[in-house]
Order: sequence, then structure tokens, then C-alpha cells
Amino acid sequence: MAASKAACGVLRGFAGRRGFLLFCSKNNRYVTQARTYASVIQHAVEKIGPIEIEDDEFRVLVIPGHTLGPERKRMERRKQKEVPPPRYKNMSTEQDWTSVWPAAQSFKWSVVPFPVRQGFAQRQENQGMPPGKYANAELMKIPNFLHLTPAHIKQHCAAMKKYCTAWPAGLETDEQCETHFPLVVITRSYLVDSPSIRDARSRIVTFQVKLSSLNLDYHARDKLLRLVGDRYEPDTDLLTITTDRCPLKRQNYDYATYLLTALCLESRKTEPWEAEKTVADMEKYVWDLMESKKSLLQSVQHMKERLQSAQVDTAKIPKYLNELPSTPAEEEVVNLPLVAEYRDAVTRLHNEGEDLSTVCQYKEAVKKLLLNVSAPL
Amino acid sequence: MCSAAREDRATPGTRESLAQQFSKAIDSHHQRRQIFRTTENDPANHTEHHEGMFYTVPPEHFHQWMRKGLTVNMYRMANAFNESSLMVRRPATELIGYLQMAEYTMPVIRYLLYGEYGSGKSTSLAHVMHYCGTQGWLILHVPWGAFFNRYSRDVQPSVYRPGRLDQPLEAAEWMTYFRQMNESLLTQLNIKVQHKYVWNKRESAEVGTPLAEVMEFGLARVKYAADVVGAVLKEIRLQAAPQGFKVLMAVDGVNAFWSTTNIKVEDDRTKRHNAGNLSLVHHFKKMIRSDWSNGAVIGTVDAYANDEDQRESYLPRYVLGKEGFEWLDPHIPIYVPNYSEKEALSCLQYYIDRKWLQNPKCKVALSRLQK
Repeated sequence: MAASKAACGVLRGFAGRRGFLLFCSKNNRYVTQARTYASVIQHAVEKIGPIEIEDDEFRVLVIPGHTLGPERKRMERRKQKEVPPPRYKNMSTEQDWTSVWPAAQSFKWSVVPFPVRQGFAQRQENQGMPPGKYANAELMKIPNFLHLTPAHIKQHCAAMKKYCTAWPAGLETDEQCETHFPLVVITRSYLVDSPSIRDARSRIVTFQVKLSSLNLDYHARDKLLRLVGDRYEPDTDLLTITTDRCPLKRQNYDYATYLLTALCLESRKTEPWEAEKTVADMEKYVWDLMESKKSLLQSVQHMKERLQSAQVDTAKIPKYLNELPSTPAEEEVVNLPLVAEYRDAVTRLHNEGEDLSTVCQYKEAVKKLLLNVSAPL
Repeated sequence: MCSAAREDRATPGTRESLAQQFSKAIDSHHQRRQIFRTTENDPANHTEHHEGMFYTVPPEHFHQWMRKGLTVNMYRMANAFNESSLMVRRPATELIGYLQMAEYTMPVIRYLLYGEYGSGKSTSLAHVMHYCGTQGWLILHVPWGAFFNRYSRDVQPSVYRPGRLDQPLEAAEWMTYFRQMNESLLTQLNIKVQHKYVWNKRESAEVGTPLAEVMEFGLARVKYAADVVGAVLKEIRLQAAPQGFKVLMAVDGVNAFWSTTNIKVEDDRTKRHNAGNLSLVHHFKKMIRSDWSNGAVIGTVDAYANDEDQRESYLPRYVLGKEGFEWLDPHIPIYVPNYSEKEALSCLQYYIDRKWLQNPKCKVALSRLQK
């Protein structure tokens, strides 16, 4: 115990007048008085220093906050490091960008040395204005191509150059490539981080070939088109065969080769049943086989008959009628330039599809056949 | 202007008389104001100079030749304006030009009016019918080709040709319409039939019976009306050239003759009859072949006369279909465009003139547009 060093005292309750507490030292000398325990002890401490009340008499009342213990050292706050200015402020315009941004990474506002804005500010002072790059999450979400600048590409090319061979002579243009390599084979390989190196999608093989490079005649081309259906694209003249029914790429490649070979060979053949082709089977409008020809011949025939039987004002009828013999043969009518024009108009109307221009061409052709357009009214 | 007037005053030798000045002022006023009306009411004289202007159809003509076939709005407006005016438009003048140009001893020429919905095909047809009517043509008008397909009230199997369907009420109605339209001309021509028509065991029309009598029979015995229409059309077709009267066959929505009706087939109720099975349509289809002469065939090609699944385009080949096109080939298609700017302004001015548009702001807007 610290009794020898510290002053000891006796707290006597109700000893003083009017309910005051007295604090006396060990030899019963008066030290102080107060109304509460706390006050009396505090006064005593102020007067005589730390006190200790002996065990055999009273326990020392220890009141947290009032009973003072040994003084604790206050912890000093750790000093924060000074934030350096963003890196872009120190960049020189001569720097090597490829070393600043060597590989693909998401946007870093402190590294990108140009002002850029992205996103949308709502219910703020600057509403409607895209926020700047500082701490801009929108810019981090989108992919950037800062790792694929021309300088990067140049470096990539330079690095790869030692693995390349010279471009073959004679294949400078796309046309030359197409003539020498008419068949395009498209396959895909997939490399993913997974337990298996197999990927079902890599079995698919696509053959693309221009129909003009297959050297087909009219019949063969028509037959091939009927066989391939919608695999042919008329705008680009491309035939596309995609095979995916076999499990391996090699098998599908062989199958596509087989298909292309079979298609070419079959379309070059002319089967006996192809002679049974009717008008409904025609791939396009052939005027010679259609009703149009019959009705035209008939109306020319009618007009010619009328011309002989009735009193006709020859100024009002088209001139070619006068030049025709009385009973014109079919070839004579068909070979007339006006009829040829009409034939072309009808054929175009059906083969190219109907629009105002084709209908107008048809109208002009018919007008020349039926009316004497040049005659004055 | 002012300086010019002062100069006039300064040189009394070149000074114009008051009358000259007045007529000049009137002229310039007319030039400034777009003229939307023409006093040329005879469609035969309409040329491209009258395009975009309205001409007034005399009430008796309107009643005779335009009783049917125009849009409902046209009749309402004719009623409200107490006059009937049509705009002279390019398709009609072009078609009238062809009709004047054609040689009528030759087989008939088929003309087809085509255009978008509401572009004025039927109105152009009415204009041309007015022309033909005033020229003394016999007019056979089918106001709406799809009418027989859609709104037939009483359909009976044909006695004359099994498999075909008669529509006696519609046939009688059409015959009445035809007779009303050509009443004076028919009495004047006094056509007599050249073939014998046997209706049943007791009733028949001998050679030489007046056509009027045959029609009277058709209207009295409605059961035979469809056959009588066939007979009347056949006689008109045969006699047009020898008797020397011109015939106009005008069909609005001619493509309906190759579409389907909504009359179900008796044996198989899932199927519907083709329009060609209707005897009336059959007779009209014969009229639009070019195997007769001294006449003209004018049809409008209207997608709305087709079934609902065949209305994607308004162009004639599509709307007619393969069969219809082959039937009418060769024909002269005539495009009916929508209103040009000039025509639209003219129409607005006409409405303002007729007090159809009364808000003063209309006039301001119109004058602004004209600038």
C-alpha cells in the first residue's frame, strides 16, 4: 500500500453542523468539510494531496472522472501523407505514350492527359452537363482504346515483322485474290479458360464462293440456284454453304467440299424430266411463252382485219399497221420494232418488279401500238 | 409605280386612256389572284391550260351521269354548295385526249386509271364519263366492281349456265341505273335485238324485238334479270359498230372481277366463289375484252376492291393479279397522282370561295402559301 506516502484521513459523516461531512486527517485534525462525498474528498485532495483511506476504517470512494489516476499519454494522430498532383499534370508532350498506357486497362483519370466528359448530371447545379473525367465511373465502364493508338500498332507490327513472309507477287488487288482463290473457307478457333479445350462452336465450317467463278452455263446456274435456295445472295453473287452437322471441323470441311462438288456436277447435268418444264416452272417471265404474246398477236390481227373491212381514217391509226401485209405471219409481227419495245416493257414489268417507271414504259409501248401518237388532235 | 405614273404624266403622248388603265389593273389583279375556276364547262374543251381549275357540272348532267360513283363527300359537298364542281386534272384531260385521238373502227382500247387510295381515280372517271355523255356516247357504268362480290342480297344458281350464280336484284338495279343514264339516247337509237333469246319454254325474245322491251321484261321478271343484262350487253357490243353509236364501258374497281366473293360454295362452306362465277361479272368481263369496236373501256384499278390480303400496292399488275392483267393486256395505264401544290391551293381557294372554310386565318394562310 501507498499509505506511508499518501496522507491518510478519516471521513466522519454527519459530524459537522447542519449535515456537513467532515474530513479529518489521521491524527484527527480537521482538514475540510463539504455537503457531498465527492466535494469533501475533492477539497481534501486539493488541500493535502492524494489521500488514502485505510482499509480498517472506510473505503476510498473512487468516482470515475474525479478520482485522478496516473496521467495517460494522449495518442498522437498519424500524419496523412501529402497527395501528389495527378500524373497528367507532369507529363511532357514528347513522352512515349505506349509506356504510359502499355496494355488494356480501364480508364484512369489521373493518367489521361486530355479533358474528356461522360455521363449525365441530374438534379445538380450543372444539370445537363456531362461530368468531367475526375472520379467518373461512366468513363470506367466503357471500353477504351488508349492501348491501341497508332504508336502501339506500329510497335506491334515492328515486333511481329520478324515472323512474317513477303506478300506473294500477283495478289496485289482484291480482284486478283478472288480470281486466284475464289473459295473462302471460314472456320473459328476458341480459346477460353475452362477445364476443357474443346469448344462445340469450332466445328462449324463456312464455304463462300462467287457463282460467277464456277463457270456455269445458263441452265446449270438456274438449276444450281433452285437447288441452293436461300443460300445464294443475288446482290453479292455469293453462294454460302455452312456445315455444322458433323462433330469435328475436319469432317464438316469434307462435307462442305462434297456438297459444293455435288452441286456443281448435278447442276451441269440435264435430266430427262427437265424437258417437262412448264410455264409455271419458269424462273423468269419469258414473253414468248406467255398470254401477253397471244393477246398482242390477236389484237394486231383484229386491227388488221378492221383495217380491211371498215372505212378507217388512216391518219388516226398507228403507221406500222399500213406497212404490214394483210395476213401477217407471226414472225413479221414479232419482229416489228414497236412490238419488240412492247415485249421488253412487259418483260421488264414482270422481271424487275412493278414500279412507276416500269408501268410508264409499258404505257408508252402500248400507246405506240394502239394509237397514232404523232398525229395532231 | 409612282415614278412610272409621273413619267406618264410628263409625256402626254404615251399616256393611256382611263379604260386601258382600268383593264390593266384588272389584269394584274387577276394575275396576282390564283384563278381556281374556269367557265369552260364542256369537258371536250378541257386542256392542260385548265388544269387545277374547277369547272361546274350542270345540275342535269350531274344528275344524269354522276348519280353514282363519286365519293360520299363529293355528294355531301355538292348538296351543301348547291353546285357540283370537279377539278380539271391531268389524268382526265390526258384520257380525253386519247379518246379524241383514237380511231373507233379499230377494236376498243382499254384504259386503266391507277393511283393511291383517295387520289381521285373515280373522280377522273366521272369527268371522262361527263365528256363521253356530252359527246352522245352510250355509257355503261359499273359504279363499284366489288359491289357484286360483297353486298349481294339474293344469290341464285343460274338456270342458263349451271355453276354460275345470278344476282337478280343487283342485275335489275344495274339495268335501271343504265336505263336512267341513257334514257334519251336509247329511245333515239331504238336498238333491236339481232339474236333470239329464249328465257324459258313460253317466254322468249325474237329477233327484232326492241332492246327496251327486253329490258322491260328483265325488270318485270327479275328472275331473268342477270341473263337479260348479258343479252343487252351482247347486243350493244355487236351493234355499236354497225349502228354507229359509241359506247363507253366504265368500271370502277375493275380488279374486283378477278378477286373472290364472300359467297360461300354450297358444297364446301370453307371455300368462297370466285367473282368470275357471278353471271353479272361474267357479262361485264366480256365487255372489257377488245373484240368489239366503236367504243372505249375505262377502268379504275383500286386495291380496296381486292380482298384484304391483296392491298399492298396500288400498281396495276399487282392489283389486277396475273389473270386480270392477262385479260386486260394490252391496256394504257394512266397514273392519277395526289394533288400537286397548285391543285391543293386551288382546292383550298374553292373551299374558301364556297364558305366551306370560314375562319379568316385560312385566307391569311392561303395568301402566305401562294407567295
